[in-house]
Amino acid sequence: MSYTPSANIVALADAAVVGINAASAGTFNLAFTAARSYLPLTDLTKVAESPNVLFIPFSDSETHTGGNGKVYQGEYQIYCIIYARVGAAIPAMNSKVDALLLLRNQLRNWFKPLVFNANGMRPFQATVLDFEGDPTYWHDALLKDGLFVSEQVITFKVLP
Amino acid sequence: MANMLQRGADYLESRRETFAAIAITYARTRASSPADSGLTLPEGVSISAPDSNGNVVVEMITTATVGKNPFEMDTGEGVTVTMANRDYLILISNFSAFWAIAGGDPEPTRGDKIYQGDEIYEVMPLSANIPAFASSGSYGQTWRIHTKGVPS
Repeated sequence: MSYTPSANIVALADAAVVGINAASAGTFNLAFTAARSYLPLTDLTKVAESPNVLFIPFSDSETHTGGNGKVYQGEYQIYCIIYARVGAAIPAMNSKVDALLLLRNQLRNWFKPLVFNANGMRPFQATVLDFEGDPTYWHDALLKDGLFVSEQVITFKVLP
Repeated sequence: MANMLQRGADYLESRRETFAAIAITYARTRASSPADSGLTLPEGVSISAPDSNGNVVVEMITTATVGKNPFEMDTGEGVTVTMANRDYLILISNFSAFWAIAGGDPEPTRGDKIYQGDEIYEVMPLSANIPAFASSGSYGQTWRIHTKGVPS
């Protein structure tokens, strides 16, 4: 079987998507199919109440030091975006936002203990170093559009 | 003697209602009540059977004029959402029989819905500083209600 190389950060995002979609039933409180994307563009009239979970390559910093540059440090960052329509009616939206925030937390917990095997330019392994989630969700979208949007950046450390 | 300017404004609003308006359905969801079965519904107002959550939808068929339709795009760090805003101009007096059945605040409220043909628009504010509706017309006879298109 031939192997088509891809950029390391793309391979890492793909590994996350495949892993999440293969998670056993009950791992997450809401049903969804994760996907990798570059430019998620959607129309409000097409956003369903079921969550959309997207992984978007964000940054790939690498440092080569030491003799002949053989000491390697790599940090890759991937956006994890959750969005879903929750409606504008305030009491009704609360329980939906509760569930989506729980999903956000469950996704973090799912990532934490794992070592990802990715086949990019070369096979490599990476593990999660950090989650950056400020703000927790996009207040303006909730207010103006009845839309829950959560964006968090997951930082991976490439293992030597 | 009534203010002539107000009479003129009322006349113009009635012309808008007669010649520039379309049929729409205005709807509000609320919790069902045992009293619902005994309600005498005004003409044009209906109430649905309770859903699985015990909520009913109160609907009113009325007329409205479609106002501006600006296209908007919200962009975060990752996802970009496009949306169709739509303002509806509706005579305040058209709602007089509706609020008593619909309950809640007697004014357009975020989450209320407007059905126009196959399209659904939800009442939402334009921004954090702008409410979901505003009085319109020289003497405030009409509400300009801000909505956004949502899945039908």
